[in-house]
Amino acid sequence: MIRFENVSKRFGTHQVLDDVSLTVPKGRILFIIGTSGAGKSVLVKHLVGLIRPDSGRIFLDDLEVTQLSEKALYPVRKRCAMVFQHSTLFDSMTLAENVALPLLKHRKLDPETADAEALRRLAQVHMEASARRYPADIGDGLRKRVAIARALTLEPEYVIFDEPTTGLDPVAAANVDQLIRSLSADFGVTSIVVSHDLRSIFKVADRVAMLYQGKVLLDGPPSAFRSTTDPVVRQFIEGRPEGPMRFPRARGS
Amino acid sequence: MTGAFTALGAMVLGVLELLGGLAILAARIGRAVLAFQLDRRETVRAFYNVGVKSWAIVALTAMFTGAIMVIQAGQFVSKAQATSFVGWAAGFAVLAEIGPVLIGLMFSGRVGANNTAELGTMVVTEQVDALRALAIDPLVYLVVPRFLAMVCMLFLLTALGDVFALLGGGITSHILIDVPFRVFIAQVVEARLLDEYLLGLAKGSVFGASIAVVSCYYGLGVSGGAVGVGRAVNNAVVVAAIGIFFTDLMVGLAWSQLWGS
Repeated sequence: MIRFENVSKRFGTHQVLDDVSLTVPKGRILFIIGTSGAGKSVLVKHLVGLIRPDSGRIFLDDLEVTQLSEKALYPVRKRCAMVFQHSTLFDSMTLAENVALPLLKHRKLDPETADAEALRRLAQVHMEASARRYPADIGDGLRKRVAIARALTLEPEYVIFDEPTTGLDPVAAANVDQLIRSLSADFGVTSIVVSHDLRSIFKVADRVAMLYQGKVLLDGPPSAFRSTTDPVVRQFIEGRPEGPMRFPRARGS
Repeated sequence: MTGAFTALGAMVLGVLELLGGLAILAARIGRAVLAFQLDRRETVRAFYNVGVKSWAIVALTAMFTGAIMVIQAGQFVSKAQATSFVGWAAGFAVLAEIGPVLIGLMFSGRVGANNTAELGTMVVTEQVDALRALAIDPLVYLVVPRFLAMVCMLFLLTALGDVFALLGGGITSHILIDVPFRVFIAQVVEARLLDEYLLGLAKGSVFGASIAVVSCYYGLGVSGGAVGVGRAVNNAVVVAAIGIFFTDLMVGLAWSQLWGS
């Protein structure tokens, strides 16, 4: 289980997160939505200690991650993988080397075995044919697929997906949706997905939370999200430029 | 007047912050090196990138340095009819001082600047955060291999550069001041410049450590996208050059205290 308790974070004078509390039960999928700059990425980076909260606590099962040192966070990060918004593949390595890196570092596999496992992982996201190419040689959407393969190599119990389908074609996006669903259904993986993709939300999410002006505006199942009468949420769902929604300042997307 | 004091205070704080940051990073690197915490594959890659790709430019720089020393010294030794000293003069200056310093500056411009730009780009594209998220310590994975590569390779490149500098000096003396190449080399050998040669190598290693710490410090501290990377590279080159001259002075003083007659 993942639990955020009264988490607040400020960058300079900008209050990005304001007393945010959320819970994700084990094996479930929470979608976090909100306008760009609403603090979604900032919130999920707190879970693996890449950002520290100003106040509040975050739990992974019964372990409070907010109290852990950088070194003590490493075991947590092996259990909780993160797929970044911009893929963040290592430029100096081939795609296969990117995927094999966690295996070499943490499973202590020999390079040949790690490479074979990396190819198997790349095949799961239909990228095995490009295994020997470099990240700069492929497009954003393909890089995102490789980033997903890399995040899953250590078979984590928790996965954070930061906009996993942004930039993907509809078929590739459907594959990623299917992968997230299957991780939960077949392996009991708990996922948090930051997304703007309404199609994915209604297809994959067990629960949806909307962040607005640093607070949780709505937290419930997709059906509650679909049927809400809240004018801000309705404007977001319907994608209308006019409405009560106020747009945040640039810092902290 | 208040503005001047404010600016002075800000400058002093900035310098102290820089020195503190460099000291902390150096201490963390030292601890990791002593504990043998490093990634073997990255270390091999760093040695290749730092050393193998730099030797040609270092050799060229050193050859010109040796030639220039002979041209400068040649005017005086020819007038004073003291051509038998040209090998000693050029060898002394090149091995102990000019060679290591110029090779260090060239190395800083090529390897140090490249290191800052590479680490800085990794920071702004979140690749360093991605390493942390994969439970891989960026210090152990990125910084320690680069540090070891720069220290060892600048030592070796200085040794190699000295040879090319003497070669350049010998060729120039043969062409310009009628001191045959063989005579020039014999003068260097007879001058017994082993101490100066070892001092130059010691300086090479210290310069390598200083360039590594400075370039990694600025690379990992980048913020502000491409503009921030450019600013960091600029600062790293300037501070590394100051570091080279400062450590040159310190190593020279320490050497004369320990082994000076």
